[in-house]
Formats: sequence, structure tokens, C-alpha cells
Amino acid sequence: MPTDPRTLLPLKPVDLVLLLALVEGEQHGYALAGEIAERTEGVVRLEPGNLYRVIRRLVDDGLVDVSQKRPVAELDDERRRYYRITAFGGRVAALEVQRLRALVSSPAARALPAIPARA
Amino acid sequence: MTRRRPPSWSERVYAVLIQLLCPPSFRDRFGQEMGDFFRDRLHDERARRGRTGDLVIWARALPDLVSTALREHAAAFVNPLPTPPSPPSDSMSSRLFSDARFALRGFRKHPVFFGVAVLVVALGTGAVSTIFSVANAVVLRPLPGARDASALVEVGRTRTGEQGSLSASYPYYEYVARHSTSLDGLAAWGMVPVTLSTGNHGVQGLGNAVSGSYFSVLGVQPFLGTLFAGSDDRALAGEGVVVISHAYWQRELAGDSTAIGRPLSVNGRALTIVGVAPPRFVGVYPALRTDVWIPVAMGPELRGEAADLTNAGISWMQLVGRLKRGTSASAAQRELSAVSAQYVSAAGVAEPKGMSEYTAARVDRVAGLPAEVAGAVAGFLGVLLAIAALVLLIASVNVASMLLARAVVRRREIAMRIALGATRLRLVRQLLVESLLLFGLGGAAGTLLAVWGTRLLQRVELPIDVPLSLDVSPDVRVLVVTLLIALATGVLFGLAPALQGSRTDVQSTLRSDSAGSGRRRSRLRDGLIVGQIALSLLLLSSAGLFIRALGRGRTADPGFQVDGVVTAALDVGSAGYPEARGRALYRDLAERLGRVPGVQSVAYARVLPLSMNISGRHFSVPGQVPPGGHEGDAISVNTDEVDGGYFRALRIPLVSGRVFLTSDDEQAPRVAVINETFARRYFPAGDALGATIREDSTPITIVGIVRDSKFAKLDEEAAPFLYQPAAQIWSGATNLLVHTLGTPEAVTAALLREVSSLDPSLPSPRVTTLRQSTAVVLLPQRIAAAVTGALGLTGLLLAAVGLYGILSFSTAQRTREMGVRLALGASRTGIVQLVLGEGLRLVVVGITVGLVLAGMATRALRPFLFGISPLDPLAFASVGAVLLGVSLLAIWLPARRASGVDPMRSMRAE
Repeated sequence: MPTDPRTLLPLKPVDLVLLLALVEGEQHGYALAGEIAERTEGVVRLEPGNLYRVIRRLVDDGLVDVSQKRPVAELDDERRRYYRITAFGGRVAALEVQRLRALVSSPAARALPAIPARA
Repeated sequence: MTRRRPPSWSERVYAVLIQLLCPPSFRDRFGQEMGDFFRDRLHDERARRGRTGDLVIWARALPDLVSTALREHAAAFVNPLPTPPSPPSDSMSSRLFSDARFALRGFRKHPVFFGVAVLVVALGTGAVSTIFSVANAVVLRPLPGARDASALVEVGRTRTGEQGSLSASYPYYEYVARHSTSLDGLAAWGMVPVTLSTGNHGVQGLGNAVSGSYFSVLGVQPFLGTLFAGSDDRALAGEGVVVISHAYWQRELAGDSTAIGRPLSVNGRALTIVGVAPPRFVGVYPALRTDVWIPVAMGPELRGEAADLTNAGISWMQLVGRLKRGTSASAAQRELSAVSAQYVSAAGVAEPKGMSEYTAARVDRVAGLPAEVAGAVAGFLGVLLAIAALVLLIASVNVASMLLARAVVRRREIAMRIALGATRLRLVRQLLVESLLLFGLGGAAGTLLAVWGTRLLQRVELPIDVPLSLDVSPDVRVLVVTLLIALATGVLFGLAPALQGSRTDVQSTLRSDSAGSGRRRSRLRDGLIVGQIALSLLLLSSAGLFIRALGRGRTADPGFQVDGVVTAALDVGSAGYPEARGRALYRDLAERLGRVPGVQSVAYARVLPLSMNISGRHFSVPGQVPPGGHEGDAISVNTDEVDGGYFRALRIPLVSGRVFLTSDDEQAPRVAVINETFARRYFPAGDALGATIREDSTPITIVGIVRDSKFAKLDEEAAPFLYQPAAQIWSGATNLLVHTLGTPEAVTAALLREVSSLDPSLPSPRVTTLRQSTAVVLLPQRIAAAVTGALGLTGLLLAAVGLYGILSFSTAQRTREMGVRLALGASRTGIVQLVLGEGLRLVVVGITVGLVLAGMATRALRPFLFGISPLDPLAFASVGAVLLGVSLLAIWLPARRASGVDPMRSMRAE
């Protein structure tokens, strides 16, 4: 497991999206996929296999782990595993966002013409 | 949260697939969660789309699962530190994986064997997949472009004891829409032939006059602009709006997005384009190419009386409704029947007697075809599908025998593996994986063939006068079904060779040499050859019967002149002509064409005979009571409106009396000409001529009797038929018939020229010959002959290749035996006879079995054969001869090779 977060950069877009989806709270797999689809306006749709492959990689790299806390009883389905972002994962995500920010605000990126969103 | 329902079929399959495909390291960590994920999504999608949700899910989940499995296997291979300590080689999936790798290696070593086998499977699955694509598009696919099409139903009126249904009049629609409780909305639509024009020259097309509820009931969203809507249909009358189809927009308006708000001339009336329908939506019967949708209130203006909104006696509309959630079609049928009965007895409904007997309703799921036709078409496609399945069966049998042959060659390898400790189960699995891979690849190639095949089919022009727009290309459903079929046949036909292949006597096999033990030919293999020959005989004899039927159909005498008659469909009604102007134009056109050299006679008929178009009217005939009716009730008789020249142009002989004269016009008393069957059945005393029958209360005098001729079908029983003068019943749409001694081309040119010189704004009519337009009645036979012929030849080819392969293989195995025989003094001819005899035995048994099978099966084809016996000796004999000839060739080649064995070399080779 790497200890220097920088060795993991740049993150794959899917990884970043997933980490960001976990920043606001822990989620179980199906909800996570829904959240990601919503955040990306349907561009990133994760099917179960693909989702858990990404989760496997992030868990193996120590960016995400399985939560020990359980949500309130009536919302809970005891079989589900909830995932949360680790402190290390938070640092990696922050660094990645920082990297992207720098990229986006570079003069070359600014020089690109704006493309209006499709109605 | 209580979610503990028993897992559905899909969930179980998914769980099994995870177990089978994914490596244990991944499966143990996430398998359970993936299953949960899948179940949740299934739950949500089903709530959203009903049963089709399953299909959508599987279409996404399968590729995902396969790619995940492959990548995780790769990851486990690169980075082999499985979290749980179970060694990967022990898991079912890794073993399958290594089996597959092993099989692929084997394929690479024998590319010809492998290539031929895949090709054979591809041919078989391609045949099934192509026909299934068509069936899928025609009968199975829910209405494209509509929201939740599974809840849509067609509503028709019917009466006890009748299969068909009656279209709806507008008052009936209004009543049912107001009173029904089982539907979440009801819409009505009627076909309106239209002439569309954006400039000077018109184009003929098909329009739908639809109720304001139409688009909302179907759940169609506009592609551009808006779709008119509203609960008050009459309010839409003044709006003058039209919605155009996406295809028309592309074709005639070049997909211009500024088309909204532009004028479009529909039947001579300028309407405003308000919207473009979405690309996939082409109306309730997607096979018909609908170009425009107009509010129903404009129907009368565009189509005249035939689209009257107030007359309960004119039924011209189809009803489509959306079932309320949780209501079944049969419950809706009961409820709507009650409403229909109420309607008939309600005050203020003035229906003709014949119609008010239709007190029940019939509710059918929207099938993309009129409910009455859907059954017949589905049956026909079912026959074709069964034939395609036969080809797949032959192909599978063929591959099975190839696998079996290969298993024999590999006996030593297999014996070696058993000796090294492989279990029988392990070997069977290995062989089964091989055949699964083969069939899987073949199935994939077959789908490609289907894509190509359906494209080819779509290019075939059908001899019918309605514009068709059917998308028969394979969709996800076809893809999934094809692959499932391929895999299922892979298991089915891989199992026998695998079982036999793994049953090896290790000791004797390892001890003996490769060539010496070849004599024992497997009975299974012989059976497979016999099966192939029998099945191809079955197919070819069906093709032979259809070809015979076509021949009979072509030469059958329909009772009228088919050759030398040019026909053109004209419709000045849809071009906005009032009656007087229309009549004048038709009269002028006939006069001008009569002067064209070679033209013998010119006539008009509203409906052409044998054009799959038939219409009836009700008459009361003195002394005649319809079955189950009362004295004075009207009898339904098929009719046509023709002019006096019709009988001359078509050479239908007059038996007695006279044909129509120019004096039989609107002012004159109504007259009719009947056929002989009408006279015989309803005037058994022979007093038909001069008798008076009534339509409602109008008296009609019978002035002539003509010979019977076919009208609906070539093999129809002679039925009563009645002709009325076109001059007394105006129809804007009619057919022109020109009997010429010259070439049809000359008449066609003259016709187009004269029409455009009379009125340049009229659309150019579709001109064809009567021979061509009546060919539509032979369409089922033509399709069936083409399909069974093509598939039968494929089957024959497969069987011949199989026979050749097996005999070559078994003689090659017996090279040493042949050498010994020759060395001991057997003649070369003797060797040829030996091999020939062995092959012939199989062929003769195969043909015998095939004949018995065909004798039983072809009985189902009887309705399509025009009276040709399903056991027609000519068809059976010629097919048997072809089969025998091809098989002899397939046997002869290996036999000759066997006789060419050099005894010295063959024995030294040991």
C-alpha cells in the first residue's frame, strides 16, 4: 500500500468521481452507483461488475474502506456493506482536485472557446 | 426494510454466472454485493418498464459481467495474491477458463476443422436469427416510440361467434371514451389517403386522422415543435394543423429545423406543420408508412363522407387505449363489452341493423398489426421459424458428428489423460467447453449473418400498393435469443460426443495403434448422418411443394383476363376534387387513353380483384334470411363499383341480361350486375334477372348476370358477388384498367403524360400491370418457396458435407484394412463397392426416414398449396432424386480414394 498519495496521481476519472461521491457520506454499492450516475448526468453508469472492480482497486490502495458504523436501524439492511473514504483517500482526492484546478486555470485551457450546453 | 422475497429467476442466473465466471478472489469479496446490486436494479427497472426491464438489465449486465470476469482473471494472473488462501486452480471458473484456453489452442491447431464447424453453426443460427428478427419486428416488438407499450391495447367491436372485429364509428369512440373505467385513456385513429405537397407537385402518402387524445395515450413525445392534443376534438377543426413523420421530414423537407410553422398542402388544403413525430414512431401499425397525422375533426374535410364524425353508421376508426395499472386485458374486455352493449341500446344511436349486432368488445394487446391479421401472420412466421430451426438442427447434427469424429481421432490423447489421472467428469467438461465455444462463436457469426440477411430482406419490394416501413433489423432481444439458442444447442449437441469421447478403454487404446482400431464405426455417428439426410429431405420437399403451388397459382384461371391489362391507382378525392370535377377528369382521362394505339378498352373499378382488398355491403334480398337473422334482415355481400367497360376489359363473360350503360348514372334508378353464384344461391328459381333487392330502403334492380371470378383468394369457394355502377356510387379513389394489345410501357407513358396534362398538380399514379398487382395473392407461397428453397439447399449442402466428411474420415481410418484387402486379392471395384454400399445404406435409411417425416409434416402446409396434395408425387420424387444424386457424389469421392490405396505403403505405415 503506497504511503505517498502523489504516487497515485493522476487518478482515473471514475476513481475521482467515486471518491467525491463518498466525501459527503458513506454509501452502499447500489446507492453509490445511482449517486455517480446522477452527479455525472448519466455519463458514468457503473454496472455491478465494473463498480466493484473500481471499489476493489480503491480498497486495495487504501483510499476507501468498509464502514464499521451502521446507519439508523430502519434504513439498515444488515447484509449491505457501506463504504467510506479513508483519510488517505481524502488526501489523494484533494490533491487530484488541486491538480485538475491548476490544469483548468492554465492559460491554454482558458483560451479554449466556450461551448454552449445543449438544450 | 423488508426485501426478503424469494430470488427471481434472473437473480439466480446472475448469481450462478458470478460463481462460474469470476475468479474466487473477487467473487468471495464482492459476489454477494453484486447480487444485491443486481436485485435492487432489477426491482427498480421492473417498476419502471415492467417485464422489458429484465431485458434491459441483462443487456447491460452480461457484457459487464464478462468484461469484469476477464479483467479480474487477468488481474489475478498478473498479481496472484488471492485474499482467501484457496488456490485459483481449484475453482470451477478457473478450471473452465483453462479448459477454454485449451480448446482455443486446439482450434488454432486445426483451423480448417474449426472454421468449417463455426461456419456450419453460423449458417444454422443465422437462418433462425434472420427469421426471428422478422417475427420480432412484425409481431413481437411493442410499439416503437411509444411509452410503456405493453399497456397499450386495441379495442374493436365484435359479436358472438365472430372472430374478426368491426372498426369504430366516431360516435362509438366518443361513447366508449366517456364511459369506460378500465382504461387510462382511449384514442381513435383512421387512415386517410393523402396527397401531400410542399410545392407544385403532389406525392401520394398515408395520413392518420387522430383524436386529440392520440399522442398522449400512446405516450409519444414530439421530436420538434408540438403534437396537437386536447379533449375536445371538434375544437381542433379550425386549427388547420398537421404533424409530420420524422421520415417525411427528412425525405421531403431535408430535415430542416425551420419546418415548424410552414404550410403543407394536404389533399389540396393548406395546413400548418406544428410538429415532427419522433424517428421511431410511425403509427400504431408500424409496418405501414404513415406520413402525417391530422386532427380527426378535419377528416370530413379531407376525406369526405367516409370520415364523418356524426354518422354512427360509418365505421372507419381504430381504437387504441392504455390499460389502467393492474387491469388485465380480459378484465378490460369484459368492461368494454358492457359499455358496447350499453352504447347499442342507448337512446339517440342510429346504427344500421348489421352494425348494432356488434354488442361486444374485443381487447387485444397492440401487436403492430391488426389483431385479426396478426394471428395469421404469426402462424406463417411460425412455420418459417420452424423451417429455420430445422436448418439449425441439421447444422448442429453436422457439428456433433464432426466433434464425434474428432473425439475418435483424439482417443489416444484422451486415453493418455485418463491414464494420467483425469476424471471422466473433467474430460466431459473439457469437451463440452470446446463445443460451447464453437457454438458461441458460431452464434455470434450467425447474428452477423442475420444483420446482413435482414438488410437484404428489407430491399425486397413487395407487390402491394401500401407504403411499407418496417425495420426488421435484429435488436437486443434477437441477439440474446440467438446466443442462448446457440449455447443451448452447443450443450445439447456437444454432450453426446463428449460422453462418447470420454468413454475410452484406456488399456486397449494405448496398446493398439492409431489406425488399427478404426473399424468400429459409432452407431451414434451413423444416426446423425441419417438424421441430417432425413431433415434436409423434409425441408426440400416443403420447398418442392411450395414451388408446385406457385406454379399452380400462376396458371390458375381466376376467371378474368390477367395479361395485357395495365392498372393505375388514382385518387382525385385526396387531391381535393369535388365529385363533379373528379368525374369529369376520370371521363376525360378514359377518352384520351382510348385513343392511344393498341388500347382495346379502358375501364374503372374502385377495387381491383385479387388485390387483397375486399369490401362488402348489406342488401336485403326477397325471401332470403341471413344465417341466424330474421326475415327482411340484410345479407352481407362482397361488392365492387365498376363501369360498363370493366367486364369487357377483363373479359368476364356476360351470362344473361346486360352490363352497365352510360345511362345508368346518378339520376337513373339504381341497378346491379350479379355473378352466377349470387343468382344461383339467392334466386334458386332462376328469376334473378329483373328482380329487386334493397340497400337500406333503396331499391336496386338486377340487370345482368356475369360469370364467377375470383376476388379475394385464388382458392376461394365461389361466393355471391355484386357489381354496382361506379356512376351511381362516387368514390374519389379508383383504379384505372387499360386493356392493350401493345406494350404496357407505351400505355404507362401515355397514362402518366395524360394525367399530368389534365392536372399537373396531381401526384403521378403508381402504374403497374394486373399480372403484377394480382401477384400479391401468391406472396405467401413466393416467400415460403424462397425461404424453404434457400434453407433446404443450405440443409442439403450441410448434409452432403457431413456425409462426405464422415465417409472420408472413416475410410481414412481404415486405410490399413483396405491395404490388407487389396493385398489379399480384393479388386479395386470391390473396394469402391464396399465403401459405396456402406454410404448408400445410410442414405437410403435417411431418405426413407425423411419421406415418412415429410409425409407427416407437410400436412400442415395444406392451406398454402392451392389444392396440391401435401404428398404430391412429383415434388417428392424430384426432391428424393436430387438428394440421392448429391449424396452419391458425396459418397463416391471417398470411395474412389479408398480404392486408390497402395497396399504396401498402407501396411508399412504401421
